[in-house]
Parts: sequence; C-alpha cells; structure tokens
Amino acid sequence: MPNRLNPVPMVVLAVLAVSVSSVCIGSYPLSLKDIAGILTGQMDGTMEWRVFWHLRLPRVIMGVISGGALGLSGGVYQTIFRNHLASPDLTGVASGASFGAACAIVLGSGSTAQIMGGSFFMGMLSLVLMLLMVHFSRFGQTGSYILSGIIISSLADAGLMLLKILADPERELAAIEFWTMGSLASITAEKLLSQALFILIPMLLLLICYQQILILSLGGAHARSLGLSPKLWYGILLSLSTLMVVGVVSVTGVIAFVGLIAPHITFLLYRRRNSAYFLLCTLVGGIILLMADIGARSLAGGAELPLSVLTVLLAVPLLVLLLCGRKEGYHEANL
Amino acid sequence: MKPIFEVRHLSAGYDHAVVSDISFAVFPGEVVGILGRNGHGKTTLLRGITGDARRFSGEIFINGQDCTSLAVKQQAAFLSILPQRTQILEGITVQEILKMGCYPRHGFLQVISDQDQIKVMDAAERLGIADLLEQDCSKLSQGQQQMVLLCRMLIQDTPVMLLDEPDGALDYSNKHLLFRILHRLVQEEKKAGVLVLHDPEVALRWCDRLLILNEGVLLRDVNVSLAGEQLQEVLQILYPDIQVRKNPFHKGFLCYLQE
Amino acid sequence: MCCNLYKKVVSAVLALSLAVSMAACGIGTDGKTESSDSSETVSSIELTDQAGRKVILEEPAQTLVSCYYITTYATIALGVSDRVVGLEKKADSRQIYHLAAPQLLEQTQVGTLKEFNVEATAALDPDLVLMPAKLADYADTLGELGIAVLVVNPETQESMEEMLRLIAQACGVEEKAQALISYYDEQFENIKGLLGEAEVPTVYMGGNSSYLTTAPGAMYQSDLIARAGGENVAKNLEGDYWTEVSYETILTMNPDVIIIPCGAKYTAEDILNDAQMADIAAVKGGQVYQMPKGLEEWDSPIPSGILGVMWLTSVLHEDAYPFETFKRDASDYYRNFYGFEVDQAVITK
Repeated sequence: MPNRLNPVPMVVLAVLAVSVSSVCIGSYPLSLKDIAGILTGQMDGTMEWRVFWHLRLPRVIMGVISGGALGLSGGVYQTIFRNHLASPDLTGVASGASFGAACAIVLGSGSTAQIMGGSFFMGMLSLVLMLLMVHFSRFGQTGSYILSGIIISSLADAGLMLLKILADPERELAAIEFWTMGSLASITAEKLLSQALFILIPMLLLLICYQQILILSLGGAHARSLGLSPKLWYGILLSLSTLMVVGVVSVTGVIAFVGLIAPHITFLLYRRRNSAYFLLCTLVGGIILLMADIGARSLAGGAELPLSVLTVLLAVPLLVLLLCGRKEGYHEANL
Repeated sequence: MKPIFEVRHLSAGYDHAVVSDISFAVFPGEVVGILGRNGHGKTTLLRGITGDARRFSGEIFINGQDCTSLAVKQQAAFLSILPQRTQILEGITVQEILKMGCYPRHGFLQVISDQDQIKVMDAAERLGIADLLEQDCSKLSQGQQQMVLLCRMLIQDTPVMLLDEPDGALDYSNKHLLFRILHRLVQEEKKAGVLVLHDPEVALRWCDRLLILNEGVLLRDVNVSLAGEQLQEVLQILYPDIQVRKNPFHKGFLCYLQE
Repeated sequence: MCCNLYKKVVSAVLALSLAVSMAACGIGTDGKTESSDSSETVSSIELTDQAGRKVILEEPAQTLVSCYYITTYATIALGVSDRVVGLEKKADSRQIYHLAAPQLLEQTQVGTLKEFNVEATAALDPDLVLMPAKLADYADTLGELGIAVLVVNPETQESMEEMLRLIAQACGVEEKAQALISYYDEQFENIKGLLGEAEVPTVYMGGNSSYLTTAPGAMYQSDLIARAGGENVAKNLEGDYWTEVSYETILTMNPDVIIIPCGAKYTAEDILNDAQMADIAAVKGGQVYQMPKGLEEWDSPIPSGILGVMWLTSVLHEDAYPFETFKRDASDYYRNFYGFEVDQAVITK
C-alpha cells in the first residue's frame, strides 16, 4: 500500500494539543496569556510562574511520559509474548511496587521518599525473582515467563493483603488504597527529575530495539536462527520495560489499563507492527493518560479523582468504538 | 571434496538424550533428507544442531569450523533454520520479515544499507514475492508465508540451511515449487540443505541423500542414486510394507504401501 | 541547578506550540500583573514548627489556609477564623463552624489528609498554610512556590498547647493563646482539688466506628480519662490508634463506666441492648455515657479538649463536680473564647 498515511505526525500533534490544554487546566487559574508571559520571561518570580514551573508543567510532562512508558511496555510485551492480554504487570511489577509502597506506609514512616524507594526496590526485586525462576526452570519458553510473573505477583499480592490487615484502617489503609489507584496530584519538578532518566533512557533503548522485538515475536527458534539469543533478549527487554514502568509507578502509584489498551488502540488504528507501531503505542499511551488526568483534576471540582478510574472510563469506549468499526477497516487495510 | 557441514557423535535432547551418537556429513550443493517416524527425534536432531535443544555431547563443523562453542550471533552467520510451524503476529509486513535476514550481519544498531535493500529486492524477485513486500505477512496463505521465510533464509545467506518439514502446510503445487527453488539454490550456491521430511516420495524426488532415523539412532545413510530395490529395502526399516518403483513418467520414484 | 536547564529546554518547546495556539485563540484574560511583594519589614516573625522547620513571616499572617480540622478549630479559639480563606474538606459536618464561624463554610476546600490540592492552595495565595504532620510532604512543595507553611502535630495536651502558641505567634495574637492556656491550667488545678482522694472508677472508651475498638494507653483519650480521675481499662494495650478488642476482652476488663466519643456511629442504647455486654458492671449499673454530639470532638486534642476532661470528671464524680456546674462552665468557655452562646440542651451525657 504505497498511499498509506504515516500517522506519526498526526499523533504527535494530538499529543501536543492535549498537552497544551492540560497545561491550561487546573485549580490555579492560568490563562494562555499568563503562560505566554511565563515562557517569555515577563512574569518571573510571580506565583503564576512558580505554579507553572513547579506543579503544572511537571504534572503534564509526567503524564505524557508515564502513559508513554506504560503504553510502550504493553506493546513490547504483547509483541514478544504474542499474547494480547500481556500488560506491563506481566513481570509482577505493579504488584511488587504496591507491596513496596505498602511496606513504606505500614512499616516505615510513609514519607514520599520512602514510598518511592520502597516501591522502586520491590518492583525491581520482583523482576529479578522472575528472571531467576525462569533461569532455573528447564527451558526459557514464553510460557515460563508468564507463569513466573503470575507467581511473583500473587506472592506480592499476598504480602499486600497481610500489610492491609496490619494497617490501621483510617490512615494507613486509606493511603495504601489511594496509592494503588494512581494519581499525578503530588507530582513536583523534583519527583519528575528524580525519575525522568529511569523512564526515558529505557524508553529510547526499547524504541531502538524494535527489530529485536519483532524477531522475538516469531518465537525462540527463529530468534536463535537469526542470531538473537532468546533468553538474553527476553531478559534485556523485560528489564528495560520493568525499569521504565517501576520509574513511573513509584511516583504515580498503580495506573490501570493504559498498558493493556494503548497497544490495542494503536494496532486497530495503524494495523502494522514496525518501528512506528512502538512509537505510536508510546504516544497513544501518553494521550490516554493525559486525558484521564485532565478528567481526574477537573471533574470533581477541586478534588482529585483516582487516575485508574478515568483511564478505564476513557479507554473502554474508545476501544469498543474501534472494535465496532473494525470490519470495514479490516478490508481496506488488506486491499 | 571436503564436507561443508559435518555432525560428529551428536547426542541431544531435553531432560535426557532423545537422539544419540548421530554422525553425518553434507557436501557443497547437496540436499540431505532426514526420514523417520513421528516422535523418533527428527526435529530434536535439528534443534540439537541449532542449540534450541540441549546438546549432551558431540561436535558440529561448518566449513571446518567448530560451531558448538560459538555465540548465538556468530552461529547465525553459518547456520539458519526454518522451524516446523511459524505463527506470524498480525501486522508485520513481508518486507519487515525479509529485513530480519540482514540482522546477523549487523551490530546492535541495525542500519539497513542500500546494498541490503537491493539484496532483499533481488531475493524477493527470485522467489516471486516482490509484489507482496508491503503486505501483512499473517494475512498471506501458508504457501506464501513459507516462501517469505525461505526468502529470508536466502537473504541471511548461510552455508548451511536446516528446514523442518517445510512442506507441512503446503498444497501440491506450492510444495514442488518450494522444493524446486530450494534445490536450485543449494546447487547454484554450493550450500548444504538439510530437510526433515515425512513423505518418502518427496524425499526421493528432491534429496540427494537420505538419513534414516529410528528411535533416536541414525540407522542408514543412503544415496538416492541407488537402485529402487536397495532404496525399498532401506525404507522398509521405517515402513515395513512400503514398495518403491521407478517413476515411469518422470524423475524419481513412486511409493505405495502393499495391502 | 539542573532545574534551570530543564526549564530552558521545555520553554523552547512549549513556547512554539503555545505561539500557535495563542494565535489561533487570540483570547487572554487579564493576568495578575504584580503580586504585593513589599520591601522587608524589620520585625519579622521567626518560628520553629512542630516538624522542626524554620518558618519566617514578614508580618503577622492575614490570610490562612488550614488543612486540618484541629488547626481550623484553633483559629476559632484564637479568634482569627475570619482570616481563613481555605480549609479542609467536609467542613459542613463540623457543628462548631455552623455555631461559631459560619463564614468558614463558604471558603474553598483544599483537600483531605489523603490528598491535598497544592494548586488550589496556591490559587488562594495565603500568607500562611497550617498543615498537620501527616501532610508534611507537601510543605516543601508549597515552600518552593514561596508559600509559608506551619506544620503542627497536636497529639497530646502539651503539643496542642504548643500548636496554639505557634499559630497565635504567627497571627500576632499571642495574648489569646496565653489566655486559653491559663484557663486550661486553672481548670486542671481545679479538677485536682475537687477529686482529692476520691475513688478511681475504671473506664472503657469505645472507638468511633464500633464499641469493639478502644483507646490504648498511648492515645490522647487515655490521658483524658486519667486527668478526669478515671482508670483506662485498656491502658496496657499496644498501639497508638483505636485498637480492636473482642467481647471476651471487654468482659475480662469489666469496666465500671463506658464512654462513647462524640463522633461515634452507635449510641448508648446499642450497648445497653447488646446481650453479650449485659454482664459488664457498667451496663448493669447503667453507667454508659456519650459525649455531646452537637459541639466539638471533646475526646480529641483540640483547643476545647479541656471541656472533655471537665465533662468526664463530672460524669465520673457527680458529687464533687455536679453536671449543672459543668454546663455553666462550658457555656462560659464558649462565650468568653468563641463568642457565641451555646444552647444548654446540646450539653448532654
């Protein structure tokens, strides 16, 4: 199909458009004119200037890169495991990170730094445990990755339940529940900067490695025949995505559904899996999360809604719409 | 003449060895067929050669170089395999699959050069799939998919090519097209082709030599230029009632089971 | 600082996209062009808050955001509730706001202990934000925005008194805090005198959600019982929050008196009608009392917590401190410090 449109520029424009509207929406009134003033340096030192640089912009950037990281890792997992249900939690990251955060809340002081550190550590630990389990199982087939992931996340969930019992119901339990629903409300420039590299570097590497990802999608025998050690590359790709997702989750809490749904939406729109597909997964994930966050901070008038509620509410109709329109698109794409 | 590909005393399997003490050699321009009943280790033998199955002992030489100790990446310059079944994920174009054939020659940053691009186009034209390049590979017929994967082997351009039941899902005409192309390729480029097959007639028609594998052991290594009676005797090891007759209309033999 | 590089890079990107959208919209409301940053005053206020942070104010705070009901109660007790421009969520449910400071109900609500809206707080541009220790993580964020934050941690009578002093200093009304604290001291002395060598009944304090939770020794409520001349039957329990107990435990404790806090979701009737509780001394003797619901949480470390001690003294030792006298004292307290006349009928037991 030589007349196939390249959707990347369009989706990039959509990301920019949603970002700009996201920058303008929030409890603190900031008009486009204020923002222009802030960017041109006319409003240095005012409250508007500080709100913009310390709160609003970091929140928008975090929204884009979090959604992007989740969308990309979902796309990578669904491709290499040839499983449409694979999501960033395949390695038990989200459960592990939740357990880490709950440890910090119940056993530690529950400060921001402790929660971030605890969830980051536990998220990475669950990856290491999973890779060890696969290594000591007889052979590194895709099934053993998924099974080990389920075992690790069940273990972490059990730990989480135990901590919930230990937690006092009004303060700690509420904090755990709130964390497991995800929020961008507490993002500041410092938190963004502390995690940006953990998220952006693996993201870039994964986008570069698209060919290895595609080769793995054909199965271990093809990969080996083409000079790609399946075990090594499953390990590399899983580690990169986990690092990225843990970087996100340790700051925002668990965000449901974006990682599962962004690749599906991307595929239904684009119908190809190539380098652009992975870039599009990233961008679509970013758009979904940003739009969900706009809802999270504006729908309840000053109160913050949990992000996961909105990501689901937003993504499901979009997916249903695409699935219903699929038949026509199917034939067109195959002419 | 020196063999291009040589397996010496190979034992391979999973928890325990499925095939043991296999030795054979393939000379340049030769297509060798492995025949055996289901579950007697044909696929395991190929997987043992590539390293997908566990190797317990033995050596593998390609152009005189020991391949058993090579890294996966280096091995891919000598050896390529077309596995029995391939499930191609929806959305990957033929071109994308063909470009994977260039992967073993490139480093981590796989920049596809103009030269590679030409190579891909040439190979696609040679196999008659040049007009499919932009198509979604998963939407093609099984025959076309096998042709695409064979084309990828051609691009990968290794001295040894292993194919596991490449005709499994193909219709009659596609089957013979694929073998014709493969046979010509191996002869022209002086490569070694090793095929796992289950149809003795196909094996007798397209292979130069046959290896008879039974219960994990290599029983016979015969040249198809032998007389029909001798071939029949060999094949009766596997299929006691088989009869082999010279094909009166064309090259090769006709096989049938005596009632 | 790496912040600056990040700002420069992002400015460039955003300026471009904004230029486009600006041109397209052409709308723009009047931004606040200058903020009232005057030159420094010599007599600045310097405080160390209850999280050990230094807080510096150029002059007494004229606008406040209070993120916690106890700090909002403190502004009422100190007579500065008219300076509050933002407060915690669910203000409607606090009876005392309706009675003593109805204007509070009209102010912006900025969050709960779980989630706190930094942007909404910034939009109010207050001189000072009063914040409980549980939200202290947000103090740094607000600090970066140039908003002063006073972190307080009222867990005991003493730390509550310190909180009152800090807020009073920050608002320039030290004498109000002094008056309150003198009143507390006077009343504690008074109660000590009244009790003398009176016998000490055992007291069980039910939790807010269920009477099968109780206040362990480390809770403020346990101190309250001791100050009022009682003995907390659960004082040896572990924990610093309402702790669950079983019927068997309560039967073993066998308290003389059961006290229900103001915010309880159950009533004295429920306990008296519970067959499992029938054998407890307090139930047999009809000694089950609930703190008045219509005013403030007297069982908590709040400025009027002294009334909780006085109420319980009168409940446990009616002879030494008649309930009618307590009612008069409570009315005086609200008249003198909060400036409103309390309806005697809401003071119950």
